[in-house]
Amino acid sequence: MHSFPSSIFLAFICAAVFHVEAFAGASIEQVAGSSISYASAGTGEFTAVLRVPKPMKPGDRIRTGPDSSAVVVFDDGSKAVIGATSDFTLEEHTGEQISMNLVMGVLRNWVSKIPRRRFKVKTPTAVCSVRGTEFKVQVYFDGRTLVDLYKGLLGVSDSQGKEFTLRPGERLELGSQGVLGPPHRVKVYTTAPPPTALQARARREVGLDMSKEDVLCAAARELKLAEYQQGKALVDVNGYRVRLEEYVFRPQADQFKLVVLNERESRFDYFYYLGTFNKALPTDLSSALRQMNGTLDAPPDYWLTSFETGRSNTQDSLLEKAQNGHLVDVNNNGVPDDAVAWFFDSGKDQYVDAMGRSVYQTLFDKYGFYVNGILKYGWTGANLQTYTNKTDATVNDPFTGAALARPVPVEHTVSTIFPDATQLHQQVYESFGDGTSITWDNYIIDNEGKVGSVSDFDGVTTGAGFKQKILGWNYEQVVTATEFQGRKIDLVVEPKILIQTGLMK
Amino acid sequence: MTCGRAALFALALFAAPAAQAVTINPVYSLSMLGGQYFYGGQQGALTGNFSALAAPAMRLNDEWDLFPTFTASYQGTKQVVDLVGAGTLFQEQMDCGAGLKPVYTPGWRHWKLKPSYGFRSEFLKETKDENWGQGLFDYRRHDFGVEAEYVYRDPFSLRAAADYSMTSFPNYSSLESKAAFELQGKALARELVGDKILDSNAILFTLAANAPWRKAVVEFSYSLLAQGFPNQHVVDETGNLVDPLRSDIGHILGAGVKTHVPLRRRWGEEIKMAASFDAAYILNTSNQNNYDALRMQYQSGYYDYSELRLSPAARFMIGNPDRPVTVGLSTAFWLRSYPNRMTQNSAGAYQPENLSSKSWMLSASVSRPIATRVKVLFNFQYGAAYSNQKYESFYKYSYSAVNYLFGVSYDY
Repeated sequence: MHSFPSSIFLAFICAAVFHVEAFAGASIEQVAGSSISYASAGTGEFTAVLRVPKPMKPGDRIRTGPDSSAVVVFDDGSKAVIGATSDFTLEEHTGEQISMNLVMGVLRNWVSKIPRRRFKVKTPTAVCSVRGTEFKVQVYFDGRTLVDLYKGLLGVSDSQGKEFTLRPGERLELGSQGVLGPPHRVKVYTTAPPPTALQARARREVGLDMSKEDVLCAAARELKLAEYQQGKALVDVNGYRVRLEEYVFRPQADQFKLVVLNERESRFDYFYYLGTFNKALPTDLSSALRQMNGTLDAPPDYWLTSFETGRSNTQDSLLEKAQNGHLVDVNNNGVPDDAVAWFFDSGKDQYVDAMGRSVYQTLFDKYGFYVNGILKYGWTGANLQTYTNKTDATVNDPFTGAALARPVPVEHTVSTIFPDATQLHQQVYESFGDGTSITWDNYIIDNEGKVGSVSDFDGVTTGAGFKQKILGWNYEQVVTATEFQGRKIDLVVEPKILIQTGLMK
Repeated sequence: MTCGRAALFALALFAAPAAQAVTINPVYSLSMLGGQYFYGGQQGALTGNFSALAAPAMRLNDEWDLFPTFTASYQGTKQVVDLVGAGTLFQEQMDCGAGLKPVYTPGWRHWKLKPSYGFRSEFLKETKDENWGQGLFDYRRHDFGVEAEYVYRDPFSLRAAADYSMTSFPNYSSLESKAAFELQGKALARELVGDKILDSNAILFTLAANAPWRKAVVEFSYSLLAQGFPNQHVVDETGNLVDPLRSDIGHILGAGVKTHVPLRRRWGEEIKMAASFDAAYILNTSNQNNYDALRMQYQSGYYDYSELRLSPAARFMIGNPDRPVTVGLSTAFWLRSYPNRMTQNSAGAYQPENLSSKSWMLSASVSRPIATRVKVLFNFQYGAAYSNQKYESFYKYSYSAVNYLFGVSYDY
């Protein structure tokens, strides 16, 4: 990349250095419009100009019709544009003089300043003679001639042999009896001479290439568009790039694994959820997944027997595991505390009132939450019907039964604050009996990484109404823990995944 | 090959024949504009846009012309038709390109044969942490092509072209391909996962014709773009990757008419009008599917779409023909529908309706020459898009945006 500006600059400089024009004789370089005809010297027979450049010899003649024009270029770079409805003859083309005759019409000339070479335009009533200038000659049907000078000096002789010198911005009108008045000022603007045929062809080729370029650029743009539409490229709260990929696969017939990957310039974070069900899963996972968080009124066909979630920044980790899952109607288990009042219906992506209805959910007999492999809390049980009956794991690992290196005190406190009352930034602080802690900073962010405000949620920041609302937003979770020693796990996910898997309660 | 190397390579090629007294007529274009972009009640900073073209056209002999081209541009102010995704207000884009096109014109017919090579590199800075050359969606493209053109008499021409291009996104690798590690030593990535999944090879066939029709010029074109993605496997209905590689086929049918209305005198000023109307129909099909892992929703033919584009435009040149004020008005309308992509509600739940969008853009410009080859210009654009897609957590489907640009341009 570093070589780009200097190389392009070089290319431009070289292009300027090779700005060379070397023509041999005169030629019709360009034609525009449908009625341009050409007659070779002495023939008087006019034919259409089908191809340019067309070399011209003294005596050759060009006629243009309405809305037509032609450009004649000379070997010294001088150019003459023959306008519409004109009759033009190249009379002489030598090293000393270029002479042409305009019987009728318009001729605009850009004359290169060449020593000892005269550029002459004759009309029925005037002769214009010059070395290096820009001027226009118009000849009307009655032979009247109008000469405008744009820059340089121009000598004009009338039919009486009287000579006049025109200065820039002056016009001289001549008739069959001589000049029709002294030179007078008119508003004129110098313009660039017409492009050469080669330049015109270059512009045309550039234009044609643009069409191809458009198609290929559009194809590249479509790829980028799809990445954005699928949420694979985001911007976080600090304005930095976050890449996000989410996919599922099936390690076994009764399992699925959902993986969420985040990447920033200097970090890689990931989350996964591995669920094992009571039986082999169908091709269409959605029917099983819809039941994963439980069902209303009737037991589900598919339920979890175990799950495992992991979060990591590739160095630190948070691991949550549960095993021995079984179905329990938590609204009819005799324990009001775990009754579900609002139930998230995954099929409808919304919360529904569950009071007084059966809610079948999976309860697990073994559970553990680990930070960098160290158990923070966990439990065991036997066919638990409510978690109030669980046995906290304090000295043994709940899964392996192995003695823990250090006993885990049961104390576990959780406090939640909103550091800025106007913003949707929730901070959850968990402290454990072993003196360690975890802080969860949860941000609700829009697609540009801006933290949502409370007013965006109509002041609601908890409960079913809040969770329903955040489905249309993104969720960034930043986790720090005592064991992380200043590092963090920073994940951007769609909230649905957290709600569906019960991680957002 | 970097942009710089390509430029020097092309220079070396044309510098040698230049020494043999070939005719070289350069073409230059340069524009420097400043302006702002407005979106969603926010305004971007006042920044500049710059673009340059240099084409030292060479006539080697009666049969051979050589057209090297060099392009470069920088865009600090977004266009209203640019994507409205992340980092909407903050986005800088730079590109450079080089091309070499020899044109062979045999003396006995109206045919031209044009082999070509082109290189383009695009750089994007969309976030605070992306530096030039490190943008996620930076890409490079090499293309080789050949075109045969029959030019009876301008504007009557027929063209047939075939191009092969290779596009690579050097900074883009799928995250999944990087996810070999795992917390518990189990696989995080699926089998068959590719790394450079956006890289593609494409063949573009083009047929085009221009012809005069009354006082207008009509144009027709058809392009077929076949893209292959050598690192992107197809997703199946279980979310797994399977053997076939992604391949897309795009058909683009275009038609247009352009006309010039002769000079007239109105309100004491000479007015000339140029008008055009272009229409295009695009049909894209792909064998790639999509599996929404969060909602467990499989959609086959996810990238299929059709699009209709209509773009009328008019340009008025007012006043002295040597220094006219040019007023341009144009509008464009796009209607795109995805036959196999379902809409989602604002919470992300899939709905039975298929996704479609309408976009339109209005552009007005005024320019006036202030010196030979130099123009000042002002451009205003308003763009709006509407869609039945209500889920906009990642990408805005319905929006409006405005920008204005003013500055100078130079053409040689």
